Amino acid sequence: MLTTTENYKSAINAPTRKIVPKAVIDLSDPDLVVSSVTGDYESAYSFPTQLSDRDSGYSGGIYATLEFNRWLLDGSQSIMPDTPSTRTGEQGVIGDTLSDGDCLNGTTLVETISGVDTLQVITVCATGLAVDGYPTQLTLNIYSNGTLLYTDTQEPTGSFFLFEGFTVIQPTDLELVVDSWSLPSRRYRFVEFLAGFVEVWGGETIFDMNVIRKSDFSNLTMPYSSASLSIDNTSKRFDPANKQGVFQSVTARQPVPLFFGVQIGDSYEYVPVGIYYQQNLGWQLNNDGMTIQWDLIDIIGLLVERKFELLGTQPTTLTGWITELVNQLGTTFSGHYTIDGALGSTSLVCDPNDIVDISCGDLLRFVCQASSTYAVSDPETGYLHIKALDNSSQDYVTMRMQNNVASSKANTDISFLSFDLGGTLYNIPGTAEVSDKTVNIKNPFITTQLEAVSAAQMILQQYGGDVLDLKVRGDMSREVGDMVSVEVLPEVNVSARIQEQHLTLNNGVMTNLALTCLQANGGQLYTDVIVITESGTYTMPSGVTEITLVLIGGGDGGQGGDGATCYYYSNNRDAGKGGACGQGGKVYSTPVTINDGQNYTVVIGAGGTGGKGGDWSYTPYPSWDAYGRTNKGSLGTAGQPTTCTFSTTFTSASGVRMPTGYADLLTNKIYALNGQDGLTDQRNGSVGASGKPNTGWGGNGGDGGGQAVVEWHTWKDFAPSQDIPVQLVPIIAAANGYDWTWGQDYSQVYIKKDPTAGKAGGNGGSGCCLIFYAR
Amino acid sequence: MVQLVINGTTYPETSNDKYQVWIEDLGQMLRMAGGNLVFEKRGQVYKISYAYDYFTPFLLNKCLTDLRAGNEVQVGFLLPDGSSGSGLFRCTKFPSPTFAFSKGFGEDAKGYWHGISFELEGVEVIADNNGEL
Repeated sequence: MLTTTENYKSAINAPTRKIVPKAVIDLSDPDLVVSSVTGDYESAYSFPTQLSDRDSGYSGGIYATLEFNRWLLDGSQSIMPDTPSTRTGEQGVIGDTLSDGDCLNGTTLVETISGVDTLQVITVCATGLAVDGYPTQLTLNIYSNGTLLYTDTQEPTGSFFLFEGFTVIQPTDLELVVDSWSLPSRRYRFVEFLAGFVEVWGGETIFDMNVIRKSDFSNLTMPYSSASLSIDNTSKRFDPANKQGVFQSVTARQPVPLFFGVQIGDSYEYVPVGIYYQQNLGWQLNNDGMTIQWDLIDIIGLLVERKFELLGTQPTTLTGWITELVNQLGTTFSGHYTIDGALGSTSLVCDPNDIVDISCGDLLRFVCQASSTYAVSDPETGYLHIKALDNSSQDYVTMRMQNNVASSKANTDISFLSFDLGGTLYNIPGTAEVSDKTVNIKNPFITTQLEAVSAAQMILQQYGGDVLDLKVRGDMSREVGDMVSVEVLPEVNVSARIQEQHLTLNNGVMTNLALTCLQANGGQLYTDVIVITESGTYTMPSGVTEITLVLIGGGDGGQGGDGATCYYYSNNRDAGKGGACGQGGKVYSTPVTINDGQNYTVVIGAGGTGGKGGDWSYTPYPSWDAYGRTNKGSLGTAGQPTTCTFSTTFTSASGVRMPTGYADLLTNKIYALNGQDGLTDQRNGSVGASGKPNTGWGGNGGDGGGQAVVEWHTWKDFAPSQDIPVQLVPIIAAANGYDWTWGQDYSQVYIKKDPTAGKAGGNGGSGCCLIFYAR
Repeated sequence: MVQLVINGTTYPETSNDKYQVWIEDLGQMLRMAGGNLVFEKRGQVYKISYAYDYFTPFLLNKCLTDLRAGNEVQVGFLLPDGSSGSGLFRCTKFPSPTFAFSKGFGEDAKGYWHGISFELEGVEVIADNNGEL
């Protein structure tokens, strides 16, 4: 689950929402190398490598200098540090010549480049700050090994400028000649001088954007995520027949970061949905060339068909192999991977002869299979991300978010897995003997039966059980591999893992998107769990030395609901606010190495106690100050931590809160859920429900008291013989010494129904201890 | 007060609630599995409704030519706050005048097309403060 703000979480599930696409297009050659930047610039104050970093946003601060009007005492400028090179942020370069009037007399900036096959556009960016100005006349000269291939002089009208309308093959030097500047007595300042361009496209340019993200946790196949992007091409800018366009700048392996944004007030919060690459120039012109569509793939897609060639010494760890794999894509991809936790040090050794003529995709499958991991592309960085399956429940998919009721079907079963261990077959039973599907695995990194069983546990996570095919509104913060709690019937939830998700705009809106979730139970075949619900001393089964310990703390008690109040002298009334829910207990998960048959002691954390509900009240005269009091319900108490002691004591207090719970497929339960807030203004409210025992659920908040029901009356409304409601009497007595008399024309409130008290919050559920181990 | 200009032709000011301009949400209203109704918003457009009883033959011809062709038309229009707006519009409800006779008898009776009304919808979605459509 990608990290988003609370505002995003509200907006993405709001009854009315607006979602927009965004793509950042980088039409520079991915093999571009800038070997040097020379010319008339101040070396000490310049950061020449930033000129081609595809970042045109100036973020280097504004410093006072001796240029005209660059020494202001209004706090808008800073003093330059003693060592100029210690400045941080996007700075670019600063020229060494002051403009005379607007004339800069042809000061130059020269980039020496290599790796560019075809150049059709060059980006020039000044800082964009009014105080810095921008070029008003620029000449671009493009050379190839000393031969001038192209020259053009333009007169920019702002800080961002593109040279377009030319095609140059294999340029080696780009010379920018600055003839004039918009401000007098200024040095030139450029933050970008890039052989290519980077543009941000939004809904005004993008016709269609479809993203499909998927993975195969078994590693029997290596699917990859893909995207298609259709944009407006009415200008024929991307038409291959248009020699003045930029079509030939489109090359393979150019990254295209894609985003969807949800409107929050007057702005948007954009969530990355991946960085995709062009491969084999997968484009097509549609609608008579008015739109152009690109089919894009992620970093795994770039790898799958590529032949693997060992570039250095054969690696021996997961990190080493993944490093080698991304290096296959060229130096620009070097280091483009992340591996979770300590997984990278997993030992992976094979016979070099077994990986001859192998594809990168197969090698990636094999190393993931042998290390019990799976591969996805990271939505934010585009990097190859190697992960282990994680059972932290990340999200709810309630029926309010589903276009149709979830459709469920049987997942594929597998009869057995047949591992080829150096010529010897080793069969491991699958999810169903009757299945006609068997799998033969010859993985060069799996050579022992123990390794085969470990791999089988991971493979079988994909098989057996059910598949949920959902149609949902869509939430781009979800990731493939996340566990989600799916509401399949009203208030009936099941845990499932996201295997595939579609993110697309249909007719301009995001809805009815496919979300495929696995409830595979194959992974349970060779995994066992002990659920401890009572404090005591226990003994682990013999033969178990590696476990995963999950401690669920007791849930917090819910807050009592506020009591409602009423003020006699007006019809001002406060409804009682529902009490806040108790938080679910903390969850702590850790692998532990134990002795065979070791004893261990568990102390189950008790749930917290729910808070008392607030009293209802009048605020009688003369207690004017009491007006507005809310008679707050009491807070619930915190739940107690659950502890487990082997040789070392572990405690859930060291864990984290998981507001949407910890889902476990083996027990098909969700632990440590937050409770629900109490309802506000409930005349016949309820005490908050308590969390179920041994779940670590937080207690629900108590309902808030119901508002008083009042009517306005004057004394004239009542006849002398009429019984006056008892609530009215104190009003009369308190009426500043006035004796009431029937028929008097004082307008007062008659309280028809009293306000009511808040209800107590529910108790938190007690915690528990889960111990997972390989069978 | 000029209410409406279509392709450079000023239309007569109309009263009695026969000129309306409003901003309409574009999107889809959907009933979810949980029974709740949601609105997936795509953006907003201007809509204009105009009606007038009788046009001169010249104006009627111009109106029908511009609007029935189905092409985009350039429109200047009066906004509810008194300011004016402009943009490309398409006609979404075409003018359908009816034929009626003036008072008179015999050769004095004269036929008129009247009862002209139409609706226009903005071609471009209104950009929001963030520049998004």
